Parts: sequence; structure tokens; C-alpha cells
Amino acid sequence: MTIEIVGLSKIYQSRGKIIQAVDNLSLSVESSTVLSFLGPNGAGKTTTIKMICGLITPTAGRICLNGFDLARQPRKALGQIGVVLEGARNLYWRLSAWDNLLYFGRLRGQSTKKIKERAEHLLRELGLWERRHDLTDTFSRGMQQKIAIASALITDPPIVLLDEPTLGLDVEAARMLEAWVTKLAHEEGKAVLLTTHQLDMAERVSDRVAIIQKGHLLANDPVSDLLDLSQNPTYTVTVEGSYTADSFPWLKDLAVTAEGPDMTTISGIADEQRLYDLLPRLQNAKMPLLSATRDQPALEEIFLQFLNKDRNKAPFESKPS
Amino acid sequence: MDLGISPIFSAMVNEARKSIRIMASYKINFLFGMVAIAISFLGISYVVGGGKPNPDVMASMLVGYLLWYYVTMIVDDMGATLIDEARAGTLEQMFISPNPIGFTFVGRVLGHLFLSSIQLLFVGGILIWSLKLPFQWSLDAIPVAMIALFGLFGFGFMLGGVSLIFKQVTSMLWVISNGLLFLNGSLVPAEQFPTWLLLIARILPSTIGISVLRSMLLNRLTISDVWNNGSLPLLLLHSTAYLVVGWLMLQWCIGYVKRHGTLGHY
Repeated sequence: MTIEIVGLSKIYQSRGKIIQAVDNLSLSVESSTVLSFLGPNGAGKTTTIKMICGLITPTAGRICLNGFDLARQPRKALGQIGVVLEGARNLYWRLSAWDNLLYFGRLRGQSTKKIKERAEHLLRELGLWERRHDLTDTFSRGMQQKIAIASALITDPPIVLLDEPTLGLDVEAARMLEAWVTKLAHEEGKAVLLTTHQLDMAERVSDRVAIIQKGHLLANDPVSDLLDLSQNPTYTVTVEGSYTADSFPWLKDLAVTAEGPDMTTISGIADEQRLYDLLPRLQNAKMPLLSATRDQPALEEIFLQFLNKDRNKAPFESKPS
Repeated sequence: MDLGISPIFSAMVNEARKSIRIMASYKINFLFGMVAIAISFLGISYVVGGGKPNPDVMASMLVGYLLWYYVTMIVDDMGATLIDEARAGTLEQMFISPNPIGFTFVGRVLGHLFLSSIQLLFVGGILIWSLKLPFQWSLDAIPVAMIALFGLFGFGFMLGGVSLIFKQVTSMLWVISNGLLFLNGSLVPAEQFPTWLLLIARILPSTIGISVLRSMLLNRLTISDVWNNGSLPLLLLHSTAYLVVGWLMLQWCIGYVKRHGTLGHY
């Protein structure tokens, strides 16, 4: 296990109030894996990330980073991680990209020779080598975020923690970062733990997804397993023949699309019963079946199902991980 | 971990390099900062001298003024700059470093002090030369100045700790640094204060350091003289107390913000 969290809890006491930010959280992230840590605002994501990087002292629990216990061997444990935190620049804007990388590399105890080699590698990979001596306050938001992530990677740590890495980025910059995150895990073997509110992005880049609400872990599963948990699956049917609304009034409440002169797609079939009702009618209408598929639900739908179930305190089932 | 040299020295060099680079990006500010130091000193000398600045009084004031300027540098570095860094997220990156944060803070103060020294030596040298101030240069003064600066480090650590917890302290820090100009004997030797104010002044950082340095640089006392008359042992005790208390306070404040999760809250 590259990141191993066991029984992690954090209780804040403020002006007589007790707030349980994280409650008995256990989680692990292996190398070559991207785990997205999802939850609504105030769910405990950032508190958890900050506990993993030693910025917040846990009330209880144990955190091991690449085999080093954060409480007992903090220097060795912190040497295993690179972190980009949410909403912060994480950079000195009055330093160039090159000087930022050198500063943060030295701050983390790396030798100047190794830092320079690594900085050149990272800047070339990001396409920023030619602008390495420009002050970072002259860069676009996307470029600044790339430099912030490069700073976190300057010592080539096996663990990368990214808190809202695509926040405020345009689509192109966000996609570029997504590709980079995936590469870090799948080609460079790093364990990547990221938090995001962009569920479509989480669905694209993640190998596993953990969902947290009010400090409780609601799910921790591979993305494909989570998507299979959809409670409201819809179906799409493709048939031969063309469709006219007058001839088939029983299709009016469905989305029907002509895919050409001799093929029609019917989507939005709400459940299995409706599908079984529909198939004989299509057969009678001389529209031979070409395919019938269960639609892939979006991660967003699953995410909301989990949150609603938890709010309603209904028994919840997730596949054992 | 490949440090090669001690973590504190490594942190000091790293912080000094960073500060030089940042300073280079604010060249005009830096140059006018030095001009401001000189003009402020000349202006204060003019007012204190009743419109007729006396070289002996100016020399005495310059010792106090330069040491007070170190205080303002440390107050600024451990106060306003630290708060800015917390806002920018770079402070959190320092805490995430495998190097103990205390070492990074020591390195940071040392690095900035090194740069301030260059700035102040340059300005002070020009003032002494151009105004023909009667200084008695002595190498003995260097270790004494270092002891005085260690006390200021401790004061800086205290302020750093306070800034980490209370955040909105910029105005308070401004009052402290400017208040010290009048209370630490920078303008008028503390020995001329009424007894009750002298007692308060002697507790404050830099007051005893200014007094001992003045006696060496202006009154030609040697390091043996100031040791034997008890002023150097008192400075040593005072600086050690500030350093130890400041360090412990900083460690406690770091623990506090980590327990309360408020390091990055601004």
C-alpha cells in the first residue's frame, strides 16, 4: 500500500461546539492508481488531505505513506509526497518557473544537481522550458497550475495529493492536466489521490472513487463497480425501419432518433418492464431488433444516489473492496 | 535525504537565494527602501537635534536606529510576510517539507537577516562616511551584535507564532515595531528614561543590545570591559531568554494551528 489510512478521525472543538470533520476513515491507495476523493462541501475531503500531509493533527488513527508512519517518522513520511492544495497559488509569483522549482526542491532537501535535472525534465514535458525564466505572475492560470504541480513533483515522490487540481482552469488546460495525472499513475507508477467537484473529470481519470459525507466514507470502489450500482438504469434499443410519430403513438414519451432511412434508435427507456413491453410491439410493427443496451450511468448520478441514501439513513450497500 | 550540509544552513541559503531573486524583481522598491532608511534617519536626527544635528548624538542614534531597523525587518518577515505566504499557500508547502519547520524558520530569518545586513551596512556606511560620524570600529562589536541579534530571532519566533494563530495582526505588528523605536533607546539612550520606563525598556528586545553596542562603538569599551561591567552577561541572558521562550512559543503555536486545522485559514 502506498497510502494507508486506518481509523482516521478529526474532531474540532470550537467555542463549545464539537465538530466531527472525519470519522473513523480507513482508506488505501496503491501505486499506479488514481483515487478520486469525492464529497460535497464540508464533507471532510480537505481535512483528510491535510492530515495526510501533516498540516492537521488527527484526533485518532494512523497514516502510513509508502510504509512510513506519519506520526512516528514524519520526515521520512513527508519525503514520500508531493502536494498541491486547493485555492492556493502554491508558488511565489515573483519568482520564475525555474526558480520556483529550485526553491521547492531545495526546501524538500534535494540536491541542486538532481533538482536541475528533474526541473528541466518537467518543464520540457509541460512545454514550458522556453519560458522557464519568466516570472510566474505573467503565466496563465493553467500554466501556473502546471508549475504548481511540477513543484510538487520536483523530488519525484511516489505519492501525489491534488486538492481540486482543475479548479478555475479552462477546458483545454483541465484536459491537459487530466492526461498528465493519468500518466503519473499509469506510466510513472505513482499513487495519486485527488479531490474534485468535477465528477465527469473524476470518472475519466480515476481507477477508484471514494465518496465521503460528513466525515463518513460511503463508498470506496473501482469506478466500473460504482457505475454498476445505478438504481435507475435506462435502456436504449436500436431497430430496423423508419419511424413516424403518427404510426407509433406508444413511442411518444421516449427519445426516438432516425439514424438513417432504415434504422431507428429509441432511448430513455426507464426500466426493464418498459423494455419488455416495448419489444413485442416493435416486433409486431415489423421493426426487427438490432440491439438493446443498458445505458452507462454517469458518475454524478451514482454520487447523488450515495449522498441521498446517506441523508435518508437508508441501509447502504457497496461492494466490499 | 541528500542534504549534504546541515538543514539549517541549507534552509538559510535557500531562503536567502529566494529573497535575492524576489528582491531583484522589485529592484526599484529595494533601492528606494535604502533611500528611505537614510532619509528617515536624517529626518529623525534633525527633529531630535532641534534642527541642529550633532555628530556625536547622530552616531549614538545611528547604532540604535540600525538595530531597530533589524527589529522591523524581523517583525515584517515573521508577521506580514508570513501571513502573505499563508494566503499564497507557500507557507503550507514549507510545513509539508521533510525538513523540520523550525529549521526552515531559523534559515528563513538568518537568510533575511543576511540580506538586511548588506542593506544596512551599505546605508550605514554611506551615512557614517558622508556625515563623518565618530565611530570607533572594533571587531569586538561583531560577536556582541550577533548576541543581540539572537535575542531578536527569539522575538521574531514569538511574533511568527502569534501570526500563525491570530492572523489579523498586521496593525499590531506595526504598533510593536514603531513603538520599539521610541522605547528601546534608539533615539534617546534608555539610561535617560525614568526608572519605571527604564525597567520596561530593558525587558524589550534590542534595548540592552543597543546600550552595549553604543558603549563599544562610541565610548571605546572593549569586550572585556562590557563583560566585566555586567552589561554583556545581561545581554547574553536576555537574548538567551528571548531565544528559548520564542522557540518554545513558536513550537507551541505550530502545534496549536495543526490541532485546530487553521494553518491555511486567512
